[in-house]
Amino acid sequence: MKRKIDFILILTTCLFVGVLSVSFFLLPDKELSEKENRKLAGRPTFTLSSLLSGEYTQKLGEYYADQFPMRDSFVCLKAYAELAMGKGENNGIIQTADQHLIPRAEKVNQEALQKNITALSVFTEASPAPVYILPLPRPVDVFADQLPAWYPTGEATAFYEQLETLCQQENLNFPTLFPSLCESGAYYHTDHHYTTDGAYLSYRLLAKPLGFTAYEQSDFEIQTVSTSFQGTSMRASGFYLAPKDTITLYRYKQDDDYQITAGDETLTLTGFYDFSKLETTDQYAVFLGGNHARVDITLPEAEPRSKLLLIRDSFADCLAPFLARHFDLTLIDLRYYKENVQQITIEETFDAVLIYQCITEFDEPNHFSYLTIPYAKEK
Amino acid sequence: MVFSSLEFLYLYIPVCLLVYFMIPPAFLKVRNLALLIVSLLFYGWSEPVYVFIMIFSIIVDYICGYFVDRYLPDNRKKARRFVIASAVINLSVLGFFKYADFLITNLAAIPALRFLKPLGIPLPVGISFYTFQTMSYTLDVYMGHAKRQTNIVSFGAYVTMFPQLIAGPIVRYQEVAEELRGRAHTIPQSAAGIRRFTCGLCKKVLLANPAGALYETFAAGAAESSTLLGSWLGILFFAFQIYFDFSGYSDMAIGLGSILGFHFPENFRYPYTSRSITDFWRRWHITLSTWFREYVYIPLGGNRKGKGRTYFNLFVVWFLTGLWHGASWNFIGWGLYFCFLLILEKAFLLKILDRIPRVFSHLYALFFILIGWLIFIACDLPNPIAYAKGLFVGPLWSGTVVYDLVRSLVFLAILCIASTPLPKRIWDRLEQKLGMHLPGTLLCPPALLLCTAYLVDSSYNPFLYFRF
Repeated sequence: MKRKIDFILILTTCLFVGVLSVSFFLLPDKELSEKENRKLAGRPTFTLSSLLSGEYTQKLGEYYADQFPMRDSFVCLKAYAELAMGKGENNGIIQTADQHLIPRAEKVNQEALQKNITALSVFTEASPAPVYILPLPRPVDVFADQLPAWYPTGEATAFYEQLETLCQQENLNFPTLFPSLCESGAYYHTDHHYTTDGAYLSYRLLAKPLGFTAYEQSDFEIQTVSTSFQGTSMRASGFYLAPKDTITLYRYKQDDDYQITAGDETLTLTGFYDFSKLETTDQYAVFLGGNHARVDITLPEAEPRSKLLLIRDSFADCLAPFLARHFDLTLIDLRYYKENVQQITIEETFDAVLIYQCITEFDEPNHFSYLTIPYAKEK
Repeated sequence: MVFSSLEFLYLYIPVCLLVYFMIPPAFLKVRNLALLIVSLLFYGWSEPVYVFIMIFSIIVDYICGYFVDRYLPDNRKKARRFVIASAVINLSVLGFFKYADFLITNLAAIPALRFLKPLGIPLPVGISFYTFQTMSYTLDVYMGHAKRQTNIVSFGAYVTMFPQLIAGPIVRYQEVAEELRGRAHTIPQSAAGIRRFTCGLCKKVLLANPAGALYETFAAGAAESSTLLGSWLGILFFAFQIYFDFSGYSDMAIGLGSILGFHFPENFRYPYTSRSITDFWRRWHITLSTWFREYVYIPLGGNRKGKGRTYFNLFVVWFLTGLWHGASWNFIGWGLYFCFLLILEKAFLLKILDRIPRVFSHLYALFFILIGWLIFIACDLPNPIAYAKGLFVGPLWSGTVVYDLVRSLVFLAILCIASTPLPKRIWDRLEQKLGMHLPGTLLCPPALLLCTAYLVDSSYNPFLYFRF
């Protein structure tokens, strides 16, 4: 019996290792990973020089890991093993009791924050139109009450308070909307963005500072377009079993009449939406079709309307359909826009400028420096 | 290639063992040849060019061994010359690749020699381990601990043997000389090898790597805003990382050796349960200490030539031990730090430590071991002085530190228990009661599965279009 048990161990180990190593060769190579939203490494080409430099074997190792059988299942197993050990998070994403996936707040980069505020202040002073700043909360701010008992929520909210103080010192227009957005709970479970409900809420909050009368919820036709959305937090965490999110759109009658251009290209969208994106991993891109450096939204054949410049990140994709009912919009994404923004505010006449960004952008090194210095020069 | 990689576990090992075991056991020399070839492949995978250094090493020591053996009976002096030749050549290779730049940068500090520029040659993996191993061959033949190996293939197999090639244990030639000539491959031995290997893999992948991640979390936190709790947790997790990493590698090596029919020496014996630094060094990296004792300390006269000479010998051994760990002053400092403590213990401390309650002697040992690790990692820290200060003065804790501690409490408990002999004792008792290795047979496959999950995850690299 003793010998038999030993023999069984050898046999099962050989089987386990053998099945995985053979199936690597039997299974076809995958080009893309849907779960990771990236291209997987392919078989490296052999050259003598790449072998001697060690590059070949290194690439072979990457290829082997990327194409390993049942890769996604193994990643998922590790994520939940971490949870089972009581770690409460994986890859810096916390899973709460009701399965919200929340990226941890990072330490505030004080130096970058100061520089960004200075840049904002310079920009505001030179801008002919009034500038409003609305930082958007992170999931970690919104779901503060659901975080693990020992999570230092105070350190996270301190960031917002510091930002508010700094803006007040520089006399920047800083409507205190942030806390109300936090209360809404209108964020996705598996993504770092707010839902369309959240965007609607922020739209209502903007009515007063920007001076328009917001439409009621009943003025929209609320349409559910996806019940299978799994966002960036799910991807980053490996918690693949997290419940899927629902994406809704706030449609209205004339939303097909708008002309939307991204740079020189006119976007062909249904209303403000690119429904083909619902078939991809990145379903949030249904709003305006994803990231663009500059987007202009106008209503042709209408009376001349007020013009609003949004210095924004991806949160604004979801907000634009609401504001478009009141303004001609120009959306500028500082991560991609490579010209001088200051110049546009002088050359094109805007009635107001809204800095509409997630709070994390405010301590991103040099993020707002690009408002005044052309991006290309910095690079 | 490292043991804890998917290509090693699922590509190299199956092919290598398949080739090895397809050769009938009667043809042991052919098996040794296969072992030599697969080991060279293993080394060539990460160091394609440096394989030639290793082949050079094999030839040099084989020839030196031949002459040592030939002259030993009637011309000890001449035999000795070949021992010295072997040592000089091996140490020159090691010196050139590992210490040349250290020497150059130190010399360049002298104004007249400022023109010296570091060579920037990458360090061959495992060179510190295998040069010590090959040197032991000529030394063992000279000292009469082992007979000369007549077959260069078998000798090559000993030098290159992949299980212990890159991270030890340092196997002295005398320990495997017999098994190179004849060894048994049995089912219980292979099964024991699988169990041992899996245990080592778990230590490395499930304990050491996550402990390392926590070390980095706390060290980075301490660099930004230092707290007492965070700084201590930082070095504590480093201590666990290096122990489970190193002893995990040794376990994997011993396990693989067992599958291939070899008995490699043990390298660790629960070092964190030591009650003194003397005790610690009997439990930590045992094969290195043994090597230095056998080939440096004892030949220098050990403790037989008076107190002064003993202390001098200790100094030499610990200077070299420190230097062996890395070409940098902090490693030398680390070695001498232990030398100082060991001398103190030899002089009077050990007697006191034996008498006081166990708790205090454990705390004493752990405290100085942890401070030792701080010296060890000094070069990796952005500001080691500030870090050291943070261990004793400053705010007690911060919210982030407490959160990270609370969420890793279970893991920390696992690390602590795994550092003691307790799990092994329970395991052995269980096996004894059952009269067979049932727990291993049941647990090894799921353990392998979990390790594979962690290894796959380490290459996990989701593309996220935002910058959280």
